[in-house]
Amino acid sequence: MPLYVDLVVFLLAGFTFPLVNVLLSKLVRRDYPDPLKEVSYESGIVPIGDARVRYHIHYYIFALVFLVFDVEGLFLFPWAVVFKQLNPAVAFGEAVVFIAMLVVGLVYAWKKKVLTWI
Amino acid sequence: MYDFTGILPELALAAGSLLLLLLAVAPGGRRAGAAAATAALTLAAALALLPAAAHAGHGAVLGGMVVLDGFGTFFRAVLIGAALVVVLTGARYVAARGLAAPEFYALLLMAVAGADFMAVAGDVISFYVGLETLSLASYGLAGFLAGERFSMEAALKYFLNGAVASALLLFGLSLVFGLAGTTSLAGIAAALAGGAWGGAAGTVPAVALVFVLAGLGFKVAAAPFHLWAPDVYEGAPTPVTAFLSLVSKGAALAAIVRVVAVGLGPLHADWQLALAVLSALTMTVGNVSALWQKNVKRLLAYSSVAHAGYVLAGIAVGTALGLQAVLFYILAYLFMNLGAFGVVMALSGQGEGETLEDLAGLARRSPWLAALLALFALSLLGLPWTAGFMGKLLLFQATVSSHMTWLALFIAVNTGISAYYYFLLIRQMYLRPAKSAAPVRADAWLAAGLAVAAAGVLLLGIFPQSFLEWSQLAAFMPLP
Repeated sequence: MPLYVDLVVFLLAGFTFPLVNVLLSKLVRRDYPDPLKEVSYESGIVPIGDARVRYHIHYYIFALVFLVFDVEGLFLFPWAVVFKQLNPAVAFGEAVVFIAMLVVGLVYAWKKKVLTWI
Repeated sequence: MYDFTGILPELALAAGSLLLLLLAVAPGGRRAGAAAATAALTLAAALALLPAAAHAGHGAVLGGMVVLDGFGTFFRAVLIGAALVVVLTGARYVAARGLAAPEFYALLLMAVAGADFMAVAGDVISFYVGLETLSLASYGLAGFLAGERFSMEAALKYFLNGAVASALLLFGLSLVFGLAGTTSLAGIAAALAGGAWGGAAGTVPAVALVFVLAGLGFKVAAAPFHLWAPDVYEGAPTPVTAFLSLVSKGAALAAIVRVVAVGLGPLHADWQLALAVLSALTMTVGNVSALWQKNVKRLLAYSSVAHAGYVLAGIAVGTALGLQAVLFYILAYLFMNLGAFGVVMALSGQGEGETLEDLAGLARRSPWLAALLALFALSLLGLPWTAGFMGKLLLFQATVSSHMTWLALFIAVNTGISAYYYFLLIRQMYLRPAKSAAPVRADAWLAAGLAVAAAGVLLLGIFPQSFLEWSQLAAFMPLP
């Protein structure tokens, strides 16, 4: 059973470490409250209004489509780097299949009028 | 160049899914019938391609990402077959409730492809990508009754719980990778057997095991990680509930065998105990919670939690006999649960409620449906001459022969507890007066699906021999 004792020690250490640190710094530090310190950007632009506004749901889907193609670009980089070491015809074919799948998604989104901003 | 023959069924499923997305935006392609037919044909094609894929090689293929063996082939057949029956039996529900059919079936096919990869995974990467493909599609499917609060709630709860489960699982797997230095499941087993980080006696492997089991426990809805299941099963469209309880759960159980019993095989003293406790807890919590349920989908949700508990007992045994019992039980569970949800689909497909009250007097309204649901309930209970009985018998045999008699006792006591609510279903249908005399109609496909499920329950119960041989073959895989 020493194994499970280790586990308990691991758990206790995990909980104690952050708690002790937070409490300790609370004890040691000096406290000068200032409304300026509560501002989101202490040395930046003065915030206007509340951050909790309602975004248009459209923005979310738009961002999602962007993300898909962003990541696609990311995946094509390693492929391009090792391209010369691969069988060119096969490697090209595989990339085409990969892009074709994303194109289906784009066509779907396009036809669903995701790309038209209302 | 890689040979992709081994994953032809999954390629077919992915292609079908993309085709459905294009169909969704093609002029006139939004008819529910066309989408259902495309999905059914794709699944049938995947099933037809399975023998070719299974014979494409033996052992690790595609750079070790996929393992071709009897176990994987068995699960792929079960998963694709279950999805096919769900599509056929659920077609009327999808059309009648006005779900967005092409997208619904596209997500469903993608989910099955992911589930398949979990069953054949030879590497942590392919396992995890399969799991996420299945999970992300399932979250969407659970919320497909757009505008219905319970469905939205189901999707959100499923997503949040699933995301936490994925995080736990990934953390566990990252520890495993850290100590084994490889993502290949066979490589991990070899590293652990070779004593990496203290091997079976080490602390880090034990911590990793706890996280992996917790993550996978969420996916199979094992207690105490089952709390999402009743709400999701109740709120999701009924075909999706059937799909989740069969495909999602089946794939996760296969993954437990692949990742825990094989990949972390050298830690078997640890996971055997952990799985046994998880199993005993799951079946007890599932059965006891089911006693209070008023909604049939919720009742079946708790019942399926309990059944996952029974299956986990077979995995906990960790022998070939235990694995055989697991495979047989999953096959039996497939037929009886599919049947039970099929009858609920017939009710809710024509806009009726899904509570126990709504079942009252079903025997007089639709004698056939009532008789079938009674058969499925008796099989879920595990009465002789049904598939459920043979499954429980095998689990008994496996647990007792491995000197885990206490686990066998848990199965026996839990069968007794479950008798109450399965007989409650039967009592409602046969001994309570009906509120209306209108018959509940099942369309031709649903009737065919119910007939297949009933035939499966009886065949497995009365002539289990040929199925036993099949599950014996499938169980032949490297166990520690």
